[in-house]
Amino acid sequence: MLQHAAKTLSLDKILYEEGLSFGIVRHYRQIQPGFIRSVDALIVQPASGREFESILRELRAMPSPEEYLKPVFIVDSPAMRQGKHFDTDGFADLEDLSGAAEKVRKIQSRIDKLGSNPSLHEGFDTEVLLKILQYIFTRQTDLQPQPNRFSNIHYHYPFASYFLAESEEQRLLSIFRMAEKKGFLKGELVDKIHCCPECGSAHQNLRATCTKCKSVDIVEEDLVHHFPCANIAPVSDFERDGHDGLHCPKCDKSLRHIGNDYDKPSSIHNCNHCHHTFQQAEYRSLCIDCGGDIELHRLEEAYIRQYQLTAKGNSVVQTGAITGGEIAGPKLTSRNDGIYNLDVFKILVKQELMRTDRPERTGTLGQVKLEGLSLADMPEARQEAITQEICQIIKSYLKNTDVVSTKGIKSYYLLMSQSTLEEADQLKDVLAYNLHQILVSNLKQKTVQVRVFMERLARQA
Amino acid sequence: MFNLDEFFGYWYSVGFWKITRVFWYFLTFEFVRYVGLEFFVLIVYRLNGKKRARRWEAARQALWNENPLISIIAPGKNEGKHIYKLVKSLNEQTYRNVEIIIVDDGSDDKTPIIGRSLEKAGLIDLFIRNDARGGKASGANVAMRYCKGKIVLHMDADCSFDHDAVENILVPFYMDEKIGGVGGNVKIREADTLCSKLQSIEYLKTISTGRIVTSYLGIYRIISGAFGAFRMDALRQVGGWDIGPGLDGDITVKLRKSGYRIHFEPSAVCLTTGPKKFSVLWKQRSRWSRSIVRFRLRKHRDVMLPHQNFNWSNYIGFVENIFYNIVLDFKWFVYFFDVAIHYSRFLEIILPFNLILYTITGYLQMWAIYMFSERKKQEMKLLPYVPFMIFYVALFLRSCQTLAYLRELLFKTSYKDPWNPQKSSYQAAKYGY
Ligand SMILES: [Zn+2]
Ligand SMILES: [Zn+2]
Ligand SMILES: [Zn+2]
Repeated sequence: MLQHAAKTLSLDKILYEEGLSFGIVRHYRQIQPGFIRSVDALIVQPASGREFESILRELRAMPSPEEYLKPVFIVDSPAMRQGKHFDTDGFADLEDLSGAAEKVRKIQSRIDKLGSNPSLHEGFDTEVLLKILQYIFTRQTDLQPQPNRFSNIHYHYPFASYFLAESEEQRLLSIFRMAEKKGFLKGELVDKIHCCPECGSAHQNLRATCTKCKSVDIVEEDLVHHFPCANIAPVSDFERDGHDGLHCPKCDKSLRHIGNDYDKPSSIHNCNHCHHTFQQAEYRSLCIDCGGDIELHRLEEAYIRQYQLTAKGNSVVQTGAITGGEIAGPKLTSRNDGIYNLDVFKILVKQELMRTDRPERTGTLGQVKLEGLSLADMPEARQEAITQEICQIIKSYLKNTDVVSTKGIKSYYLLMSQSTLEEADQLKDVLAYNLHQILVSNLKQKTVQVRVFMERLARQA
Repeated sequence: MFNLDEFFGYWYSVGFWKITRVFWYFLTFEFVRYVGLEFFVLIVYRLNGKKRARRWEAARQALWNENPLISIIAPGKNEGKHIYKLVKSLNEQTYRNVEIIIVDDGSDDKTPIIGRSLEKAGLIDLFIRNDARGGKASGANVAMRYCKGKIVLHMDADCSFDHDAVENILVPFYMDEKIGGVGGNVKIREADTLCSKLQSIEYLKTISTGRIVTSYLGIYRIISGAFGAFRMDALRQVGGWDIGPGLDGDITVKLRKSGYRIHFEPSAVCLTTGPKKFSVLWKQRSRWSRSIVRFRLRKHRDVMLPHQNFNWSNYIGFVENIFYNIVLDFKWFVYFFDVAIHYSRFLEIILPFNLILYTITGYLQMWAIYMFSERKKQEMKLLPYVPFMIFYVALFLRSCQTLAYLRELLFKTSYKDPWNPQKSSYQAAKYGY
């Protein structure tokens, strides 16, 4: 069977130009080591966009650089026009392959400069990263993400995206972060995306919902304030059938001139489903991929950047010296802003003390203690995750410039450098109450007690 | 300098008629109204206690049987810091079937953040924030628009309540179906400035007992905005609150004009923080005084004229109010000059005697207060401050009121008060509200 297939496929056309051979590929099953090695470049002529992707996936997954880095061209056709050329080395004119041939020569010369592939089994991520670095090196171009509605992260990276399933592209972003951290790549921000905390998909439908029943069937109305009689009501109260303009039902006068005898101080929502009234609708996101109904603040923000090779990246590619490690899930999000580990926190407090060591200073130091947590059968990783989440919840009550730290799940520290003790005290009850609610309802911590302490930032503290 | 023998010798020698002539002001007005009438009514009220207790119990049962939804509204500016305490105080109440609506009238502090988070936590049912300030009346009105309850409780966010205050303010509605509004018993929270202590005594006199009397006589006229209850249908019928220097008197008059009865409930106790400084108190009282002129003499003067809805008790309440507040205020100056001109040589004897008369009256009133108080021990501590009351009432409050009356009568200053936004005052003045 296999033999039969190979046989048919080997009958496929090969074109020659300036001593270079171009293999025509129509089907992913043509991607066989023997065939790929026998040609200098490929011209892909698939029947469909899907087929095109399958061919590239097969090709890029091959083990040796001269296979997966093989120059690929497409023939200009309506089916191939939707941005597909970004994934290739350009269009090829079957009548005149001289332009393509020049590109092939350039790429080949760059491939020759590659250092030997360390056959280190450093792990999947390192392997993918090395391939990406090599690609950027041989193509002498930036890696530019392209908007793509099929991608889970809304963007498709040429070459790089083919190593991962569409549902796993989140991982690609973490590979890039790692590469940036190690100084191989330099990124430039292109876009920010918001991903589902459950499945990682950025396919989100944002909408305003009822704060009580989460229904999207809500209507917003302006509130109208009629100055002379102090009546405030939704604008529909002021509308009469068959009449233009607004009319006050309380004092029976027509409203004349906004800003003069009436204004619209705010607006209000009404839920058609549960008839709840509220001013601020709750924005929630529907995850198109997993169907999750997600509170906005739970969406994880991730950065889409375009990348270029650094000098260090260049040398790595040419020496083949890349080491793995540290790849395990670097954080994708920027949500940790303002949350520091305890040592850093102590330094910040010291700095703040020096900065504000004057009688009129306004800093406040706070502590949140959780007592009566039952942690008996909670794994450590889960505790750690909850601790981080509590930090974030605390942070959400503070100003941007405030910082939070933790000494484990039971104890949190707050540095509010711009709040007076009085201001901070106002937060105490609300913070304690809301944390308590969350712990009781979300974590079933029935016995937990939340205690919040605030004190003025002072030397002896 | 001051000789006691001479002092009493003088009064002994002058005789009854001469004394009456010299103290006509105290005897004809203050004594008759605030001692004679008040004691008479309080004694009758006391004697009716058992009967009232039976009616009360029946009404209380009716309330619990129905257990209606009550809407609590608290409009205000920059009150965020009080909201959590208010909600906690309400959670301690015996009556719990309530919805809480807080209106933030253009606050420029953390109120919106606090309000929203309490709304999110489900501690309040609706938080309405208006970016542009509209004034207290508009705040109350927008809250009213979204109330679902049968009775509306209007309160100030900085108040706290005895645990049965909400229940007790609701019961009177079930005693008499003609009652459209019930005023709570507002007291001044314990504080240590002289200013607060004097206000405490004043509130006890004018509110805690004074209103039992006016309510009993059917001429009770101000439901405190700090703690007042209104039947929703009545409130909607009169169109809610109107703009003005004070809202409390106005809404009460409007309800009365529509034929509703107004009741004062001494057992519905609410504590508020009065101004701690005399300067702040001065401003507050000026505003209240202006509102008497603006509402009684201008907006609602029709109460005193014969027309189809004419009602004697409204008429008497109005006349009493205007007479004891405005007329007497000016008459006091007549008295002062009368004495100063005709008895100038005896001033050093007449003034201390006045002081003694007023202080004795003050202690008599304190005794009446004591009879009705639910915080006897606490309020006994105010006794040493009673002698200061004459200075507080006769000098401080009187100058404040007189000045405010004059300015409002002559210049309509209430329309310029920053307590209301300019846009509203301008329009209200234009339409003559
Ligand atoms: Zn109107
Ligand atoms: Zn709803
Ligand atoms: Zn999802």
